[in-house]
Amino acid sequence: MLPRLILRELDQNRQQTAVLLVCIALSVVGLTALGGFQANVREAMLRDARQLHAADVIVRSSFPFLPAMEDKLRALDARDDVAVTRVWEFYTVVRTVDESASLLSAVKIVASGYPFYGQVQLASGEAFHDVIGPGNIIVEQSLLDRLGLTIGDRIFLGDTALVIRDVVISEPDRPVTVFTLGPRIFVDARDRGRLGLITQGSRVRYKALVRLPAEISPEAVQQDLWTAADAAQESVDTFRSADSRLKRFFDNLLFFLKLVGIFTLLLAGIGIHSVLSALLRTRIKSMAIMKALGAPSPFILRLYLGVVLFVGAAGTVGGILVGLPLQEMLARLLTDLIPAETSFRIAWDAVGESFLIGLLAVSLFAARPLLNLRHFKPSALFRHDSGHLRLFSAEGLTLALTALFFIGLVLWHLEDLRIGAYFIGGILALIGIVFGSCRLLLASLRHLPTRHLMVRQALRGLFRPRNATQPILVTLTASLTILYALFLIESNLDRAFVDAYPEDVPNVFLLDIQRHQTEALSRLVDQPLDFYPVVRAKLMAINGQAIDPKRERQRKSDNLARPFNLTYREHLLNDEEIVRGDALFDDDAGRLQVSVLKRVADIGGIRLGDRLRFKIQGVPLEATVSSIRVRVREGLQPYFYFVFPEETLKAAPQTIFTAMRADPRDMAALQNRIVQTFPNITILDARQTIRQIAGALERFSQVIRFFTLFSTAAGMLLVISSIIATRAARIREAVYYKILGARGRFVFYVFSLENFFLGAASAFGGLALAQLISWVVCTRYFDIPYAPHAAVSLAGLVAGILTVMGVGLSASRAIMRRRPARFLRTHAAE
Amino acid sequence: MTTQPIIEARQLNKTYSIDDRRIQVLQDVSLGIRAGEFAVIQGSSGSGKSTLLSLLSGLDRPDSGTVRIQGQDITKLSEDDLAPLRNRTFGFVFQSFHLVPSLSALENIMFPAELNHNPNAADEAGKLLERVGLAARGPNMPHQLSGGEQQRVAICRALINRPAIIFADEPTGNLDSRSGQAILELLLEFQREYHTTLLMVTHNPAIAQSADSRFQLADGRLAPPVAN
Repeated sequence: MLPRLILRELDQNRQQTAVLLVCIALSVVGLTALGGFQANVREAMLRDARQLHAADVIVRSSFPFLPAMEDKLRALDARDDVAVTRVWEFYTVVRTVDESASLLSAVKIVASGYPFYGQVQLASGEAFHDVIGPGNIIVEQSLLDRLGLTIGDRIFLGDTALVIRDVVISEPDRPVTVFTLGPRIFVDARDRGRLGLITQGSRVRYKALVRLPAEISPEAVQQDLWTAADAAQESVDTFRSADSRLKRFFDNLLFFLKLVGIFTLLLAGIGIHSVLSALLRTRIKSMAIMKALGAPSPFILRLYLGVVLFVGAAGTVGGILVGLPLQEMLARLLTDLIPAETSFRIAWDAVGESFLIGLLAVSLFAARPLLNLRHFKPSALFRHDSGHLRLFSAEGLTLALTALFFIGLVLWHLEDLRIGAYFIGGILALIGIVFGSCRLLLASLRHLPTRHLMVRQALRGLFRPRNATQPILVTLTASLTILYALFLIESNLDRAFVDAYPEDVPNVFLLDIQRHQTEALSRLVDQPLDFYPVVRAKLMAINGQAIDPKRERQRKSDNLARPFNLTYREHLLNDEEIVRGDALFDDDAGRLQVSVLKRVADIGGIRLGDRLRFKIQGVPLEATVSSIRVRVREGLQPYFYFVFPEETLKAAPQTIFTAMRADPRDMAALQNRIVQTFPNITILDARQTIRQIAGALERFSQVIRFFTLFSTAAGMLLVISSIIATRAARIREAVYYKILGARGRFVFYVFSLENFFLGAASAFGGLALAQLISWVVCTRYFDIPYAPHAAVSLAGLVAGILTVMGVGLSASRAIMRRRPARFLRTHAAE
Repeated sequence: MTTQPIIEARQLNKTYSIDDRRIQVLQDVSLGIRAGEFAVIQGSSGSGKSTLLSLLSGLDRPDSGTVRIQGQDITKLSEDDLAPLRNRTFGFVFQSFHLVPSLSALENIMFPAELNHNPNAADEAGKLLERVGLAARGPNMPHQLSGGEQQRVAICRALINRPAIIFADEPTGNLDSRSGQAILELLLEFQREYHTTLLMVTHNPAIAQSADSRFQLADGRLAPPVAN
């Protein structure tokens, strides 16, 4: 009997059931897509870990390997069963042989044997080793396109012209970065010396790749190499332990996407609760009749539990079925950033996890309305307006369980207690503020005296019994807040760095200049240049406390374990001020000193008088903090975290860096001129670089926006559900208006206004909160000036209002068309 | 009282479809009601009384036949063309009261006057409420009122625009006999005072006895009119 009744209930409430089903599907679709995507990428990374690093053991450094490491590597290479190869990676500007065009490119010089694992795929289909060789290079297609070259043409790298032999399709250990500054060029190591590009202090990544026979443990070799490594500048990893940038990149991206996924689950959960409550309210009469005929409470509970579980399972399966293809969409959006070998299969673990989360969420959000059925009395039969029945009282236990479920889910997915706590706190604060504001707004609207008939009727409509006005406002406002905030932050980033590139700041950065080239360079570009010496170093300890690289890398912002560019000078820059200390350096200190920028001081908790220990190419240097500086104007002027007195660093291995302003129209010619004369100098066009960063940011924000749309959809579903739940009341209103002489237009305006209020309150609230959040993020986190973007905000506001009105009015169309006689006939007996 | 019918129906036919079944509810019904008259439509359950009232008041359309109100054929009018007629010429009182649940008693009465852009809607509604003894109940919502109180509010609402015709569909059907009697007296009192035509559907023979004319419906057909 029960299954039959369950099916009857589902059939009787098709519209509400459909809305509930979609709500449940929405709650799991994001997590399914993200979970599956993550599982597939991780599986590819684990399965092909050797290929991702092209070796068993990898030694890396930003400087030439120190003698101890070189000795160890030579000893390893001398063994018959072990192979060692070398890789050098750096950026340089290449130019066509007629000197008409040049391009910043990512050069990878490889010695024989590379890659030990995986393949460099070439467009010709030939083997990499058959093509690469002295005098030959292999390039990415975009280099040919941008320089207008074809296979067989020659280009200048440094002082040497090399022949383009093939096009690279993929490389196994491709570095994963959000954006690349230029196309890849493979060069044979035998040409390295004659290029003249690797000079003292050049920004080169040095790598030694080691291939081991199966019987030698990579970890043992790693241990052995560590004994010779200088931890300040050399790192040794196995393919298993390598802290892959790819993995870190995905961890960061998925971290943000999962926040959005969990946020959607929470909002969809509010939707589930609200829709189910509305559904049960429509069944009050049926329940009352069943109870009057002797059905016990557990029977009623089982009946509706059956309905919920059926819809819950169907919705979860639906969400999973939609979520699976979304993995592919994510993969397409991030195609350059995932391992080439990644194949997207159904990740059953992720599917199972989504199914469980979906059912658990449904059970928890449905628990309150279902448990309250116990208190339901059949006397409801004798009341005309069940909307006033207090069927749904608060249940502390289920509320607490729901809260625990979310906290557990957040901590499980985010795997970081502190960030998890911030997220939970942030979301609770957001929903709390939204909830409180909604209550306040509704309380003031309820008693708002208004003489305008249509406005009054529309406002009254908001308080129609069974109307889910408050849940609608909360979900829509919260989701619109996130959507608007993403948009505003993105617009401010664009404005700060891309759209309004300031006229008075440098737009060309010249790196890797040698000291003897400075005067000639100034003459060549025909303007005075400020040259900044750059000494690459690592911070080892603060007050004797060693920097922990693992902990540092977990920071979401900058970290202290990376190599820093130190400089030396005796004066403050125009845009700097001292906030701690009397001067940049203390004349009478009698010890080594360093001035620190406040931003890095804040990261490391560095204070005046602290002792900082650095290592510069193996040489230790300890200095006391003599001052802390701030930048008074944020922008693209060069700045340095650590500044030393001249006598301290003058003798250290260094390159020179400068920045200049050039007419964007002459940029190509300028680049050509400089690289012809100084092939070792790397030229960065700041605008182009920033555009690339902005493009990458846009892609990620598209992905995040896409997933945030699911939470907005949950809000929209609530609008539809609320209209379905109050369908009878709305028809009654529409009919009464007509009987009393109102035209169809009046009914349309009243319903439009009601939806307008919902949309306007949500959009205004969402925009106000988004402005606040974006202001905090931009000024405190990104350190950029904030603009409220009034015009686009207004457009977003109008779009939000129109969407809610559109959804609301389309769901009310049939209601507005209802003729009075039909309604009166069916309700005559009431 | 003039002799010109204010309501005139000719050859009204109406059928309803329930699934694949067609039911003829009214068959060739013709009648005329003079202005200022109190007329009653009688008949057993399912005889078509309420359907006839719906057709005469323009709430529904006949399959064939015409309804003329003050000489104007309303059967061809659109919903929007009927709106001013419903607002200014007609007043409705229903068995189930049909008060707008989201409006207070006072606002329910004001509503038709406000639609008619009457600047004194609130004052006039307040006076009517006072007249029916519910001055203190103005701010109350419909669900806070008893059945008799709700019906008195509905009568005030029907009268606020001083309509020429009041259509009342079993207005005492949901009330106890005492409240029912009070409501009937109130309706007749207003009908006399405002010189309104009152067309009422009722089962109650006592009420029918007090009407100026009676129309008896049986199986969708009208018996010859009876004048009291």
